Amino acid sequence: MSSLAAQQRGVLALIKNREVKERDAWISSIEQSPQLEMLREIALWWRCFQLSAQCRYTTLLLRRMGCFEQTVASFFSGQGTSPYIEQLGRSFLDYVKNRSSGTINMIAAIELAFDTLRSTETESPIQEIVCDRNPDEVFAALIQGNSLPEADPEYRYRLFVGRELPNGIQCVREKYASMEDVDSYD
Amino acid sequence: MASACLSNSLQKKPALATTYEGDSPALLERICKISDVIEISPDTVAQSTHSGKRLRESVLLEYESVASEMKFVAHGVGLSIGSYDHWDEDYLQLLDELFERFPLMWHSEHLACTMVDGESLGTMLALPRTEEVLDLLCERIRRLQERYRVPFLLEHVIRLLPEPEAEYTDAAFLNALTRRSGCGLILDAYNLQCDRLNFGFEVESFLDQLDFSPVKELHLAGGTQHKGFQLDIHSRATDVATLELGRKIMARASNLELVTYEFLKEAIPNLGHDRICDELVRIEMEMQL
Repeated sequence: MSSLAAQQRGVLALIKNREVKERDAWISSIEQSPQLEMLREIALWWRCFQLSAQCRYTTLLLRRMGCFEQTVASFFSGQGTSPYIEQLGRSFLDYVKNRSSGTINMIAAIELAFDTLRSTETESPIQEIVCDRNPDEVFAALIQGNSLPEADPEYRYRLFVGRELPNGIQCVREKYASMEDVDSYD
Repeated sequence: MASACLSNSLQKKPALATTYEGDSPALLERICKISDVIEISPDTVAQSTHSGKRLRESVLLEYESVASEMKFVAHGVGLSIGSYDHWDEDYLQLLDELFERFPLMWHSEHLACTMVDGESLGTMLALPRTEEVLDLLCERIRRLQERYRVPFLLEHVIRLLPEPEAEYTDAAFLNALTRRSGCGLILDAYNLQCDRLNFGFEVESFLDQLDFSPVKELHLAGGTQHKGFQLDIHSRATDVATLELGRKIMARASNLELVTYEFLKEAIPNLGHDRICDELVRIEMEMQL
């Protein structure tokens, strides 16, 4: 491996907090440097900034739960992230969706479904996200800074996202016990 | 001496340029009344969809609306010309698209590495000043010069880490690079200030050693400090020391064609349209453009 390759791979591993596989004198010298810590901070700050703009609701919720920076740090360290903001946002939502449950999982899945809707020019299959509480109320609470609604013990909310639907979205409220009482709204 | 003064006074003045990345048509309208050239970063006006990356049509239409009165230069962020393995081919496709839509005075990039093994570093790394890197850069510049028949310029970036062992001084490396490849240079007065503040870089000595003939563009910007580190985040007006350094560079760079005030799109809400325009007027006056 050329010295340039070793150096660049080493810096990538250091910035991403991963194990350095091949180290030379320079890599060893910067490993404990305050500049490296600063570099990591800057890289993470930018990712937090970009993701807050790109994945508004998921990041709002993660902030509320006090785990936004930590989640972004794990994402940045563990994934090959894209310099293109839409791709970065997409892979972040996917990352959060696959590692969470409950409301975070629901919000990340909804944001991801809308991203697919926006970024796919051709028709794509309708996506369904099943929610244990009214998604409208969750989004309103996030925007207004209010408490999140409790899970609805009686109903589940089947949210459909797809280009063929009116306004791209449809939500169906279904009673858990029986499927008799079904409300549908766009 | 007199003839030198005369030739200096007859020298064409550089034009004024500034960044514009779209979505603020009111700002664009005001910018166009003050500056002559718009700096476009293809990768920051790109949109990544499931079918690939394209320049955002809405932003291209904004540029088109002022194309009769403005000139354009492309200034990339993510080509990663110094990656050991390969550069970002997606960036070149965006650049192709931009060239198809507008005549560009030239295109430029940062003398840096932003991707390693196809993975984004999340920052811009300065390159080691070695023969290995020089060979790699010259070959890639040759390919760019073949692909786009307008000048190609490189801009030095701030150093973020202590440097590895070098075979060249900063100036000698740039001199060798421009001589061997025929590329032009952008000098960024703010980046030099950052290096001076963060690492004690001897700017005057660098300028004394540098061959100024390839310098076609000067960048001015202002930024902020974090934990005592001057950051390369263009979020402020240019400070007095940076302007002073800019004037020193301008006095030596006889082939300088453009002075560009750079600011991040994300900084517009804080800077405000008035301050951006005031800054352009200030630079025009201070630099006697």
